Amino acid sequence: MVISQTLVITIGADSLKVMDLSEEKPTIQEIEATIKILEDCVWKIETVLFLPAILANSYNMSPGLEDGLVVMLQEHQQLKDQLATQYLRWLEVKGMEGNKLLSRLEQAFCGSLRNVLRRLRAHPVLLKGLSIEEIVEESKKLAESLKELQCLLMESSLTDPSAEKEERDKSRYMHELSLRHHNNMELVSTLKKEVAAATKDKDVEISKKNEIIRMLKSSLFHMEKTSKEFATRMLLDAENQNLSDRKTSEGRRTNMQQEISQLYSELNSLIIKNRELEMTLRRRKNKVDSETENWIQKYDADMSDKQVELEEVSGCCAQETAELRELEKHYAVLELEYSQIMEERKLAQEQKEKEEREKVIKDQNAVIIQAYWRGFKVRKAMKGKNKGKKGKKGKGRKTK
Amino acid sequence: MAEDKESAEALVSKVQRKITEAFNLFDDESNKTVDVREIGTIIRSLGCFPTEGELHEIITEVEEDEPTGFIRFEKFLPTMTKVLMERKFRPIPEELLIQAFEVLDQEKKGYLEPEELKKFMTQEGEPFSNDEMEEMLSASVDPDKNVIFYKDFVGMMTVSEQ
Repeated sequence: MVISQTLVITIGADSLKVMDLSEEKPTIQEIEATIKILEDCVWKIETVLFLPAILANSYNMSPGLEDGLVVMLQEHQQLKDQLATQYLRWLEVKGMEGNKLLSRLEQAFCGSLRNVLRRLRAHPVLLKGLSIEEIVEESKKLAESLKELQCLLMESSLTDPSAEKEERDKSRYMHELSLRHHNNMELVSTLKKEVAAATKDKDVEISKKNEIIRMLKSSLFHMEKTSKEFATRMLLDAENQNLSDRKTSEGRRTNMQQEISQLYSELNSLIIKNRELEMTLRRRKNKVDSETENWIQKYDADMSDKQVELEEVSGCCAQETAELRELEKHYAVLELEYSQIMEERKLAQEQKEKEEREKVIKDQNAVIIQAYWRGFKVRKAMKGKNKGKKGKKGKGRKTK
Repeated sequence: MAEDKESAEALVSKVQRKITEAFNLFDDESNKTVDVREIGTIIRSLGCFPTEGELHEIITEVEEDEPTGFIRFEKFLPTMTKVLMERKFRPIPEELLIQAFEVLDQEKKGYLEPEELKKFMTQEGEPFSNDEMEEMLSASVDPDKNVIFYKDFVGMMTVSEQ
């Protein structure tokens, strides 16, 4: 639908354009061209009017100007001067040669002017600051009249499409309409065909979908059936299971109850037994408690006795230590005395020994002397005896 | 060896002859016995210097089992021979004698007072009798100084011994 609408719109726009072009093309183009030419002429005239001023100022021109333009302007000035002199000369001496030279100069001048104009058109800024005071009156008039002509042409171009043209336009428009209608009809038929194909496709689609739906429904039905069956079976199974479970559980419960009652009785018996045990234990505990109490009392009494004893003993001990200290003092004195005495005794002993030793030595030496003397005496006597032939005999008897 | 033996035997016979001579000198009754009191004199006359203690030992050796106061020659000869052969109681050397006197001379004076000597000789060792003491003093005291120069005295004794 959307595609067809856009198609119609585009077609309409095309037809309108075609119609416009066919009606206005010759007149508008002509008029526009004329207007442009006129405009150009007006500009050229104005510029030409400004030229003297530009030429006069060419030396004082702003430094932004191109050197080429300045040179061109100077050349143009020279050409103009030459032309003016030639023309004056020609007015004085009219001849063939002068004529030819003048015509050649004019051509050169026209070319130069064209060049200058072309240059100036590229630099419109140069013309802005110039005043139009010096402009010649006739030239001004020419420009104004040309402008007027231009205005007229422009007006005519705006007001020209008239009633004469309308008839033609209408017939053409009708033709266009019929053509468009025909096109539209063709479009419609094609669109209809498309619609029919689309509807056909849609029907096929729908039937397909319906088939799918039917299949789905049937499958759903089956599913429901199977699920129901499954559910009933499950229920049955569950019930059976439940029943059997209950039975077993009841059995177990009775067993458990029996067990419980048995355990209760056991517990009771145990409690009774334990009570008895506890009683005996308690009795024993009491006995033991009393015994411990007795022991503690005894211990306390013993302890107090021992304490007293200990105090006595420690008192005794202190006394004895004091005594001991005194005795020790005494002992020290006695020991000193004892050691002195022992020293004296030792000295005495040594003295005695020394004396004895000396005595022994003296003894020995005395014995030696005595023995020698006795021997000496006997032999002396014997010598005497031998000389006097058995003299004294009794001498030896003296000895013993 | 044989010579040695012979010379030894000769020595022994010589010694025994000397002993016999000395013994016979004191055998007053010529019955091969002497008074026991003469034994010291006999031994000393044979050149020995025994002390009284040593003399006693010899006497106890040569005495009879029952002391009779007499000594028989048979008993005396072997003992005395042994003594002489073994050179017991040899002469006391001069040095030893001087040393003995020096021991008595405690102050090292070089001489002894007669009283000092008398005291030592009669109180120490084997004491002298009074006669013995008198004899010794008469022989030893220097007549001028009235002291005993014991070295001179020892020299006198040893010279006369030789």
